[in-house]
Amino acid sequence: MMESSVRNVLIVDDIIDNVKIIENLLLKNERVNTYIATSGEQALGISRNICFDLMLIDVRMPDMDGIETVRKLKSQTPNKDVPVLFLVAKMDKDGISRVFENGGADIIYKPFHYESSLARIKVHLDAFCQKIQLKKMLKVRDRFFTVLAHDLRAPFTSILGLSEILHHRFDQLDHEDRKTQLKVLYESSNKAFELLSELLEWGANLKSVMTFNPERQNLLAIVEECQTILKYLLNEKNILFETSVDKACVVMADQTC
Amino acid sequence: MNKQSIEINTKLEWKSEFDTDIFRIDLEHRIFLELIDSFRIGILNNYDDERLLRMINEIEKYQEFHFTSEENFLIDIEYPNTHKHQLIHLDLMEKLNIERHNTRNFNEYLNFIYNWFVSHTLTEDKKISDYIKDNKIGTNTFKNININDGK
Repeated sequence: MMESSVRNVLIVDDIIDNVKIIENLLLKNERVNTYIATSGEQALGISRNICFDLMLIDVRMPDMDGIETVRKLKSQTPNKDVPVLFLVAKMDKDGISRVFENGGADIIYKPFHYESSLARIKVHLDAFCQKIQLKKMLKVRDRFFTVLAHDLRAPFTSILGLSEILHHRFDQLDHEDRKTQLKVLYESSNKAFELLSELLEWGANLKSVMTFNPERQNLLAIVEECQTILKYLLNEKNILFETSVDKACVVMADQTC
Repeated sequence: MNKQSIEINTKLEWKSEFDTDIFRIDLEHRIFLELIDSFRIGILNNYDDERLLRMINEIEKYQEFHFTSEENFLIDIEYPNTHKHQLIHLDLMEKLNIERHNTRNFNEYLNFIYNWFVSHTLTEDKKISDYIKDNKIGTNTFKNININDGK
């Protein structure tokens, strides 16, 4: 799923030949869009409008050096969490020690060694894309729990309401009323139980989410069912309930949800 | 400085103009020139690409070593432009790296690296030599090396 997406990579080096070497290496081996800059200023300009998946930045540049460039890049919201790999000469001991103190995720050493440079780039690209994917999945999970809580609350509302009426006003209700209310109580409990069972099953599998199987349903029948469930509760609160649904109206819905 | 084109059949000889009169630096420069000449012989004898690339690796590694030892030496003699010289080394390594990836063939790389060696030795390293002479600094490092010891 992640393999298919094209990633955006920013390459910054004051020497255009270096940029081209890295760019060619990436374009030959990875599915990437490359954006290039030969100064920190230029990099800042480009990155205002583009979300990157990885930034490769030379440490030693005139005017604004790589460290300063990264500090400014990270203060821009679209790219503040993007991993930065610094391009550093193997001999540049001062540069190497500054890289990790200043938010560098890793180093690509000059002279470039194709295989190891590519391996490092790939590791950080994949890790960042997985991080993004994970964040999205967590959001979906949170939304799922909200929907779930809402769905569970509905049958419990009628269970609580009906059992309250039966508990407090049992003697005032006639036989038919009790029978209907108990039936609705049973059906609501059953619905809640079904939902919990499905949830348990989903939890056990953890491989798939609950399935949604929509079928043709008569809308009026569904509304009438709700009316039966709510009838006694609405009466209790003196609420008048009217429905106006076309008999022929059909909707696609999954009744187990 | 005019670039010299290497005659592939001719050994790359040490020239007196390369001398810095600093024993250790001259010794390392001589080894470096020998490595470049070995590369010339490799091309001449049609070594396969993999073998020639291994030789380039060796040249790069040696160059890194040499620059480090030269920088250490500059710090020890309190050379006033040590930092500038270090930056020049970084630039040179950068050029070497680019050339390695951009040259179309090994012959082109051989010419580049020889001229690269000559120009740096004749300009920047000569300045170290002048500084040593002007300040009458003694440099005895490595002077006792005798490769014929024990034979």
